[in-house]
Amino acid sequence: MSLWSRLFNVVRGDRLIHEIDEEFESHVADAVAEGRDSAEARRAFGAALRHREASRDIRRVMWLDDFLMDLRYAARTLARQPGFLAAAVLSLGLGIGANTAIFSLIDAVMLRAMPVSEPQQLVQITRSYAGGQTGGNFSYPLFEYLRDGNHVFSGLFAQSSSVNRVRIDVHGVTERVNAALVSGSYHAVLGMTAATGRLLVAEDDVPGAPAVAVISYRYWQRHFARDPSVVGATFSLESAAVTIVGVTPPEFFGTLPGTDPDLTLPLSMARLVRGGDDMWRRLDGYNFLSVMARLRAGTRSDHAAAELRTIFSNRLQAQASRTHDPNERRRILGQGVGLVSARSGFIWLRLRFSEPLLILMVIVALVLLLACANLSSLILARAAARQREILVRCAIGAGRGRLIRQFLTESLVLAVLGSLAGVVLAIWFGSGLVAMMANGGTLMLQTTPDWRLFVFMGSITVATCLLVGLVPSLQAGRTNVRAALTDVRGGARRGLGKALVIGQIAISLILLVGATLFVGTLIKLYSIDAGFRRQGILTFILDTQEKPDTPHRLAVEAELLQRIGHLPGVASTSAAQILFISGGGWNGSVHVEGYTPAANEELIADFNAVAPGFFDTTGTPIIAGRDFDERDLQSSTLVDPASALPAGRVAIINERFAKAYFADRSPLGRHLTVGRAPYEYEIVGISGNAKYLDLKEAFPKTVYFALAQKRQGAPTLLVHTASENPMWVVPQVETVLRNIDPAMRLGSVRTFAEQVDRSILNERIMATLGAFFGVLALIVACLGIFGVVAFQVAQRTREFGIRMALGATQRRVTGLVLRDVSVMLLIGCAVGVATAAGLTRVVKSLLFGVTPTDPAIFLFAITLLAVASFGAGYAPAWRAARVDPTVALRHE
Amino acid sequence: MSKPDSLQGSLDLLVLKILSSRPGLHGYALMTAIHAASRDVLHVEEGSLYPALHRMEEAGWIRAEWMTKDSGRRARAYELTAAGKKQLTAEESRWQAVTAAVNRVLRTV
Repeated sequence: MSLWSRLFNVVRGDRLIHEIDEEFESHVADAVAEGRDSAEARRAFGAALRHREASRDIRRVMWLDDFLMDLRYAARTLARQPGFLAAAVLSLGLGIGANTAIFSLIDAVMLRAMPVSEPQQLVQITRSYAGGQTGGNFSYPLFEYLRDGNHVFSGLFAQSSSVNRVRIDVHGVTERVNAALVSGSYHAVLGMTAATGRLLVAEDDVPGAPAVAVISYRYWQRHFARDPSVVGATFSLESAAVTIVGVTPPEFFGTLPGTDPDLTLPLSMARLVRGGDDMWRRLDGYNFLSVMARLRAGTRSDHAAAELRTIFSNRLQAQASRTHDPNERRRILGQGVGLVSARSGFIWLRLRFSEPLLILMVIVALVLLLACANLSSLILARAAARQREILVRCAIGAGRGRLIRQFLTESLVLAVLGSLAGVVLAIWFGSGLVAMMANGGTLMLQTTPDWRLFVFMGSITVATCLLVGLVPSLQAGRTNVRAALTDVRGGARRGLGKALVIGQIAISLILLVGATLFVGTLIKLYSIDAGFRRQGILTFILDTQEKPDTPHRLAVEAELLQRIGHLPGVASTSAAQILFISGGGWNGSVHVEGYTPAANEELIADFNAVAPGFFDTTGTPIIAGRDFDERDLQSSTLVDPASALPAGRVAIINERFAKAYFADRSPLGRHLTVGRAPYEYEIVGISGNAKYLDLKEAFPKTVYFALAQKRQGAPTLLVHTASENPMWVVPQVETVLRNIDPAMRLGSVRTFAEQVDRSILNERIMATLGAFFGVLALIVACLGIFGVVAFQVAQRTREFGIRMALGATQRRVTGLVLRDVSVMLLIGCAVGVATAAGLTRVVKSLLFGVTPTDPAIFLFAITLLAVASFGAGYAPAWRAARVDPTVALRHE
Repeated sequence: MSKPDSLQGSLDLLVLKILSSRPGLHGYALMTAIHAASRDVLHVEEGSLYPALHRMEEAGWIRAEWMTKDSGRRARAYELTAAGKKQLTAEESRWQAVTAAVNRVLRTV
């Protein structure tokens, strides 16, 4: 008989029995037909029931039949306790859902390969600098040099490291889209074919080539309803006509994970997208490109990296030989290059999120472990209530394996139901987290399930089933009928239950310590003195096609700031080249009058160029000297460095800069020079210290220039209002701007507080999720303690009755129960503290202002846990003390 | 199944042998055929014939089919499969080897 029919026999169990019986009956009928006595024939046949069982076992898949029986049994048992079932499915669902969500993000950010040919051959070229920082931005000449000088790559392409937001006119409709700027070899190196039309080729990326664009499948769908005639259509970009030549395949989301560029444009169109000129093709200073390469078949990544380092250092040697400045030489020769796998695209997104995601993975794994331990202890407690049933099953010959299987089936039902709930929660949780990670912008992550996710879900379900069911089932399997009948106290079972509670306390403590650290970090970041005010400042830019330094634009800007300044409720207005904590930076080397640098010392300072009123607006104090004012506007016309020292160039330095280079002398009236063709600036003021790049850094040394004298592109405009939230002023600012120049709009309007929030994204994510899971852990652990203590009290009702009959006070009985709780708490905390101390070291880089080994943090977590545990244990303890001895003694 | 049986071991051989010459027998007829062929020497415990049949069916040596007899009662008729024929040859030669060996012992000792 085939396996199929045996499987079939499992589901039609009754029919199988009927068939066997019918064959037996037919046998007896034959005997009677032969003239034998019916009773004699039946006797001769033997024990029909035994024969039937023997035949039945042969003709079905036994384990499956048993399994289905167990399944039905488990379903019945669970359905009888809907409260327990709901709690179990919810806690497992939360645990599994959180794990699945985090894993799907790890999958999307770190594991998924790009849908291009042989993605494992792709590598990104990274770059390191003398200061030890690493990055991956290259200039076009350097890209060309590496491309033409190597023998290890079959192809290289360069791409602007971020997507550019551009305004285009399609069929008379103006809209903003994302554009990726790529070198002509882009699609060829990736080895892609177009969904329709053609992709970019080298000829598209030569200066003067006709402007062409490849659009994404989604853009094609969204705006052209997948009309094939889109190939050859044109749109205008900065008043240039651009021809659409093709569409990328639907599964392709570009090479910058997290983005989904609507347009892919050749670098020859950089001027239309980024503004400026085409100097970047020739000069080394424009480092805005990421470079990806395809290894030649059979070339190992480390061999390729070695050759790359050699050719790069040749270039550095040549560069260094052209300068005599030792600092400059050191900076040049200190650079290096390396390779990292780019099978999932450029590494930028991975660098930002891999660490918090991996730590979150550990956190949610602990949460699931906690939920499993909790359920395990509840099932164990219930198993004690089922003691009688288990004994009966043992007595009629249920094997140990059979009992274990039955318990595991029950936990499997819970695990599968939990997984189903988890899928729903994972979708909700995952999209919430992606929205957080997007940080106010858009983050395109491909979280469509792939095989890795299914494998993960499968293994997590099996693991949950085992974690939940193993302890209770082993305990049940150990049931010894004789011992169980003589000893009804079940001491070993209570021990196991306690061990599980201790485990829960330990895990909760780890999660609480983590939560305290992450929340503490965030509180610290919100409360530290950054040197500027965070509330009440509105920031925006002028959204216009006009070049940043036309006289008209300068006039509009000046008038706008002046008019806004007169609006009621506005305290001050200003403008700055670099907005603090926005991710932008500008620094350089300076020479300070009267300061002799030590050998090899290079004076590097952070720069900013600000308009008058900046310090009032940001709340950074002027400690000495003066702010910039109208006097400092004129010198922008002084552009003749060759003449005698140009008068009127001024700078304000911050306190830290003053302390470092002027010691106790007054810097006011002294000079500093900046740049190669040195401009001299007179120091007219000293400001308070303020953070520059991010909140976590120490105060940097900063030099402020007057915006009018050192303008480099469009500045950010700032408005300080009297109220905490400045958004109310936006409509009025819009009106003012419309009155000055109707062609201009406000762009990137946001509050400065929001800007600061964005800079501490990872810390906010960790604090929010850490606190969420910490509180969850606390609740789950309390439930566990409550369940186990309540169960123990029920078990010991008789004992308490006797104690009280013999004169024990209520307080004494309560104390007895709570002593158990404190022992579990003590051991659990000891284990938790030891583990947490080891684990928290890993998260150090995500912390700020808190020490992972700070005893106060641990004390806080322990106190929280202790209060909650005693709260959970007190209710059953109180009940124990109210036991009426006469009732208790009759109990059983 | 594990109960010792005088026919244990040879029951399979007898069933296979009889079915090889008379396919389509049902359980009762198979039993009487064993009685008759052995001239009333070999008796099968009637009930235990069926688990044995089902086991051989499971092993793929025989296959069964329900058929309706003249009396209107249904009976399960068995016949040999190709694997069963091979098994029969193997069992037969094993049986010959064993009985020959036993006979040799009886003769020489």
